[in-house]
Amino acid sequence: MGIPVSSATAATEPPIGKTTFTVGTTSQVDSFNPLLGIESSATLVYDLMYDSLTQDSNKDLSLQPRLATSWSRSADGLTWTYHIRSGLKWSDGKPLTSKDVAYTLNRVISGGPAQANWGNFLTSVTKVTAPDEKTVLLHLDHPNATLPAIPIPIIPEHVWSHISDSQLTSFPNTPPNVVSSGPFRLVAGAAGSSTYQLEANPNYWGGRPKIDTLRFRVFKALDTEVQALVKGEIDFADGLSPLQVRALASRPGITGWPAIQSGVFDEIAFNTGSIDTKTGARIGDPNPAVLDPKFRYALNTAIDRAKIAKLAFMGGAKPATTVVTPDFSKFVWEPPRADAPRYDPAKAAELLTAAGYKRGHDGKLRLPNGAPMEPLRLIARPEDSSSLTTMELLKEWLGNLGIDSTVTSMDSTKLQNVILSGDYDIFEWGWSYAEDPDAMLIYFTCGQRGLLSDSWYCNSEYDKLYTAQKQQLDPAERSEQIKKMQAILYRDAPYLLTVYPMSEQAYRSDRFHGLNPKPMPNGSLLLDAASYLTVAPNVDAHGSAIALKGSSGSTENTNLIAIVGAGLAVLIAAGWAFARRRGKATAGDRE
Amino acid sequence: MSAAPEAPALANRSRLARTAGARRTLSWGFIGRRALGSAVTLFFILVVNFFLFRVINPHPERTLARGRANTPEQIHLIAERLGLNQPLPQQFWTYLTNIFTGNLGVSYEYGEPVASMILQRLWPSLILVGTSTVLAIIIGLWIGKRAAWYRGRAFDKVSTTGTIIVYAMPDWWLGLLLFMLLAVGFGSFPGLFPIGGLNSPGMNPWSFAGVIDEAWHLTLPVLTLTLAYVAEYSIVMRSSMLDEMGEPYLQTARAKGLPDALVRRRHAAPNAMLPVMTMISLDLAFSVGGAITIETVFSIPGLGLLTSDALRIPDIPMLQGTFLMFSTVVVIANFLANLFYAVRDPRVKL
Repeated sequence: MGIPVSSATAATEPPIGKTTFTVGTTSQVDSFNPLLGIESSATLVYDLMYDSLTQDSNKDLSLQPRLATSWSRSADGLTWTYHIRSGLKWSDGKPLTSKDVAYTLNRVISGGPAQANWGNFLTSVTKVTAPDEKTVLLHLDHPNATLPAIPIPIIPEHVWSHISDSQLTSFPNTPPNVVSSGPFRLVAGAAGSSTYQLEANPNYWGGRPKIDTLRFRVFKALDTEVQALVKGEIDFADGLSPLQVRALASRPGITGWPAIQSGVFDEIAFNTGSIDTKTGARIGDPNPAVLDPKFRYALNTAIDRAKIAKLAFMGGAKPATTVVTPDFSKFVWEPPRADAPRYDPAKAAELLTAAGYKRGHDGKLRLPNGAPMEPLRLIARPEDSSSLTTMELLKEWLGNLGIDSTVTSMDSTKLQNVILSGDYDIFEWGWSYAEDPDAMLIYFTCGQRGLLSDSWYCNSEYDKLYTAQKQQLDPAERSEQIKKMQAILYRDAPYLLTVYPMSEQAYRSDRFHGLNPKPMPNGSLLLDAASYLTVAPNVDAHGSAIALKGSSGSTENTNLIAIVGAGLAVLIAAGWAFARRRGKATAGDRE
Repeated sequence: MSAAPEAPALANRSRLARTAGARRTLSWGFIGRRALGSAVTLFFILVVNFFLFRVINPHPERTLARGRANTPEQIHLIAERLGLNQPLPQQFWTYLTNIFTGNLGVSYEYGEPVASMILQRLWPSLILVGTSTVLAIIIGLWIGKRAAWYRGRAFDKVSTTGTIIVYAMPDWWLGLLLFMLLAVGFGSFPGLFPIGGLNSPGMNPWSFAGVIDEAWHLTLPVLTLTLAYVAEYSIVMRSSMLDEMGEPYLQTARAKGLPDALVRRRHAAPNAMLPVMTMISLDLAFSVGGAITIETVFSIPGLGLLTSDALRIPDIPMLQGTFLMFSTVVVIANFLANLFYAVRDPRVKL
């Protein structure tokens, strides 16, 4: 049976030899154990190693089948049924069935590290069952609007059921003990390692990947990463700066790719009212001005977002309006024309006057009660040079309105403490979230104060809408509710959105093709497993992969290694001769 | 117990006697006193270690959760896994008992035992910084010795100026310079060395080819650090040597008819080594800490990077582990340097 199948494969695919695709990245994998790791590079590796029930389409982010071929829900929204692909096998040959899916999801909802990592995708799910090998049932106590999307990696029950939560830390899930089902299999790597390697799964249900070996190299310095791409040691570079990508794009054989990122924005955030969450008493010392929504909103038109994008982000960013990024097109709210976030300092001054903030004799703005305004404390983070530039620009714009301010810089761990203590007025930071705007909108609910809310924002109307959308089963209705929430945020202005930073990538287009943006046409490259399936080597007239020719540097390296070896030998010999000379010295020589 | 006379009037004689091979022996009491001092220092470090990193950020679970786990329950679960919801005295007790059983805890970031992660990262740092330090010591002492001996001559002028120029450059900048010249290449001159990293991907680091490959990867970073460190040794050695050169015992040695080179090598240099020894012992100890900037430029997964990455969250068990190791090694090196002094320098009371 097996022979005709393999000969058929050989006939359809040109014999291109082993192709290696090497990715340069700046973020390391914190853990290959999908119940522990949280870095974005780790999430990508889980996606390559394991299948999930559903995935977003690369074209338009719409929900697509993956392990599940189809799904349906009961009318009350309290039961979801997923139909699972049949005939699948784990890499150790054992069958992959609905039992593995139910096991994984139950482990997530039962608490512990699995829930800490993936629980937000299964809100309200109380139990998962597998009535037969091809069906999975989710039982809920409230409807959940983010279903049916479940991007949780499905792990094999016959391996993981032997590993309790307390044993997770001694189960790194690294070779040779990895059992997976995805398009690639991990063959080398350890937590935090500077290189890791995967190999194509020839039996993948979605088709064999067109690259045989997938290598990742972690760089700690961007300049080093850029040079590795130029020299051809890597084929794809992620996390670059806009200037680097512009410079790289002018080189032959390299394509630069500045991309719009999903769920990424930067903001100027305010202390909207820090409190002790237990007693409700005010804590910290925010300036009275930033506690006033009218004051915060007035600053919206005092900010020149185009200038921030140009100066602080070196052109690698787009002006931003709302926390829901443009790729979530169904949910994006646009402010009415009159309220658009245009740079208009005169309008900002008008709004401030209307809100009771008038200039005194010294030209400085005073609080509505006539008291002089203390200088606003602006905090920037030294990790991003854009942060400091943004705050310096803000200081200048505030100065034009008669508002004094000081800029300080503190690293994000310290800033988090300061935010929790409430001793701040304004800071610059950004967020990155995935899958659904719900993941971001939750941070503005009252329950997040003292946890991950960094603006202390609390609004009961907003909270009601948040709870409602979370259980709303009508997509059109839900998107209306989410738009209303954004309108509230825009008016109350706990954040003034500055820009949507772009991701800057570049690759060796002389060696590989098929790197497709997600979503089309301006999204990022190689963010998920599906986009790695289309990457293919360029083939020359003889049918051999150009990538292999490009890496002929390895033979040159061997020669150099020989030279170094010879050099070492000479050094050792010289050292030995020297030691002998000293040893031979006679007693007469000594004194 | 001591074999050598201690009276100041006899100090010069004792120096000559020492070079003839006489040895002072250490008493157990002396070793014990010094060891006790080191142990007290270590315990103090142990305690400070626990509180220091909790001051940076008492809520690492929030850094870990940011942008990923978002419900209050999830954040609570992370804190529970990390043991952060326990009362501080209990955390401190667990920390102390763990350390005395050789358990450094589990890294917040990597979810793996800290001790095994440190061991994995230790040897790239040791090879990188250790080799550079040893090379810098050998070359630096040689230069310093000669420069002092031929003070004011061409060798002295060239070497002193040269080493100071290199010393004045930030080491990451020197690293980038060498990197651009020798790894990237310029014009038609090809880049000879690999661009960063410790191994070629897919190479077995334990095979012969793997070891050579690693040496190849480490050549540039080691060269950078050696150049950066050389000046320190050559300058200290030079001034220490100049001090010795005025001493009358050198006159005596010359009067015996010893050739100049031997007077330098056998008499002046060993005594000039004493102040340099403290520096060497501490620098070798510090080499376990890695070199953050050079590890960054060349993307070498060493302890320096591990530690600086851990500050981001902060990964408290990891920081406790690495700092404990750094300080232990420095304390031990200091202890050994004390013993060395006691043996070599008659002025130390045993």
